[in-house]
Amino acid sequence: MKKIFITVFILSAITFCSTPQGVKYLKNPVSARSSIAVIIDCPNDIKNVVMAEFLKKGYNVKAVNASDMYTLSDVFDINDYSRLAYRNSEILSGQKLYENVYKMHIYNFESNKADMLNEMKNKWQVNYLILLELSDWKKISWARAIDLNSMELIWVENYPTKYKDTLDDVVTYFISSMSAK
Amino acid sequence: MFKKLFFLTLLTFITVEVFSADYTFAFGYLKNSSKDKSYDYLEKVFSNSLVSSFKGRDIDLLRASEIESELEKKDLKLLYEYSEDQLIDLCDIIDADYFMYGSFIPLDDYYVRLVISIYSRNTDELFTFETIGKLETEIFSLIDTLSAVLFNAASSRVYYKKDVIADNSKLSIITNLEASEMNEMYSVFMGSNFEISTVQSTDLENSVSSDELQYFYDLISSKNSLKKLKDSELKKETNFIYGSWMDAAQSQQTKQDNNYINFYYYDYPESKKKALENLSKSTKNNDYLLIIHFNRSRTKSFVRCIDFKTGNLIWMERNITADKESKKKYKSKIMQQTDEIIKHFYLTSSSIPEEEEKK
Repeated sequence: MKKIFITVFILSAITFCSTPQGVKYLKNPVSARSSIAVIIDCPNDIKNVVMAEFLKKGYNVKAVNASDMYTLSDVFDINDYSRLAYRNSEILSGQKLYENVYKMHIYNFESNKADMLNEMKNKWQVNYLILLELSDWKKISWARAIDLNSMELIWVENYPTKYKDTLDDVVTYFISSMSAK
Repeated sequence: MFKKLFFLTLLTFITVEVFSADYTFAFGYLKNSSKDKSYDYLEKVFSNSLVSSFKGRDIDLLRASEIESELEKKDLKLLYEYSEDQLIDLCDIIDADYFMYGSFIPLDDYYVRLVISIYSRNTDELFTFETIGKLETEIFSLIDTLSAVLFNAASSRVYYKKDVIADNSKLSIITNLEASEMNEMYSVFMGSNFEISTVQSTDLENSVSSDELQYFYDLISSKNSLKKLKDSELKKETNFIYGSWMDAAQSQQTKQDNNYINFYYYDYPESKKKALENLSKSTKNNDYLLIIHFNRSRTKSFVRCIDFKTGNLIWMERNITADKESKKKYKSKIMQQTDEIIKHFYLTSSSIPEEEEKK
C-alpha cells in the first residue's frame, strides 16, 4: 500500500513539475563554414560567448545586431496610427480605418523586412539567418534557421533548459542540432 | 389534475425542443445583371432551386414569394440589392436569421457567373462570394454546390473554402502565438511538407497581439469578402470642402487627408492587393497567406487564407478544434490545432460532409 502511494506521489510530482516538451524539425542541416548571421537579444558579453561558440565550430559569422532586425514595436508605436486614423475620420468609422491601416502596416512591414534579408544575402553574402533565444532552467530556449536563398524556414527547435545547463551547453546543443551532428 | 397538467406542459416543451428549427434562412431573388431579358426566368429558378436544395434540413425556409407577401403587408417590396442598413431592417421585418441575395451574368458556352451575399442577423456579418458554373444539364450540380457553400457559411463555423491547399505549398503565416509556440506550429507544418516563408518567422518576438490579429477576422478581396457591418460603414462618403478661403497649408493638409482616406478606406482592396503582391514577390514564390488566430487556451482557432496568385480570400473558418486523432498524435495543444488545420487544407465547402448545428 505504502509503495503504491509513493509511486503515485512520484508520478504526480513528475507530471506537475515536468519541464515543457522539446520540439524539433530540421529540413536541411546548416553545415560548418556556412556564412551565417546570428540574431540574439542579450547583453554584449553573452553575445560574445554565443558568437565564439559558432566561430569555434567553423561558421563564418557576419556581424548583425538584433537592432538591425527591428521588431514591429521597435520601429514605431503602431498605436500612433490609431490617433491618426481617428483624427482623419470624424465622419467615417475610425475603428475600421485604423484596422485597415494596421493590416496594411503588417503587410508592408513583412515586405520591407524580406527586402532587407535579400540585401543581407546579396551585399554581405549571408546564407543563413539564425535566431536564438536563451532562457533559464525550466523555461524554453528556442532557435530557428532561415535559408536566405529560398527565403524559407529550414530549422526550428525548442529546447527545455535543464538545471545543469550552462550558456555554452545550450549554444553547443543548438549548433550540433542544426548541423545534424 | 396537476399531474396531467405537468406532463402536458413537459410534453409541449419536449415537442418544441425536438421539432423547432435551428434557424430561419430567407432567400431573395438573384438579379439578372445582363441586358438579355431572356435570362430573367433564372432569377426565380436559382432562388427556388436553392430553397428546394435546403429542404430536409432542420431549418425554417422563407421563399422569395413568401418574403414578398410579408413585405407587402407593410407596403414594402423585395429588392434585388440591399444596402447594409436595409439588410438589418429587412431581417427584423421578416424575422430571418440569414438572408441570401445576389446576381448573375450569363457567359459564353452556357456558363454563368454568380455573385452571392449572405447576411447573418445574429453576427451582423455579410459574406459575399463569386463563383462560375454551367447552366443547362449541369445546373443541378451548380445548385448543389451553391447549397453546400451557403449551408456551411451559415454554420457556427462560418465556413467557406474555395480551393484545396496543395501539398508542398509555401505558406506565409501571421499568428498571435509567442515565439516558442510558433516553433511548435511551424514544426507541424514543416513535418507535413509545407514550406514556411520569412513572414513573422524572422522575429525574436511576436508583436502582433491577439486583439490586433482580430482585425484580420474580416477580409475584403476582389471576388469575395467577409465584412462586419457595424464597423464598416462603407456607404458613407466624405466630402472635403475646398475654397479660396483656404491658405496653402490648409489646402495641402486637406489633400493629404483625402489621399489618406482613399488609400486606407475607399481604395483599400486595391491598396491591399498591391501590398500583397509586393509581399509575395519579396518573400519569393509564396503561395498562400494564412492568418491563424488561437484563443487564449490554444484549443480553438480561426483561419483566413488568401491565395497570393489571385489575391482572393479562398478560405475562412472559425471554431476549429482538434479531433481525437490529432489529440492522440500530439501532446501540445498548439500542435494538435495545427494538425487539425492541415486536415482542413484538403477540403472545400462543397466537398465536406455538412455538419449539422448542435445546440
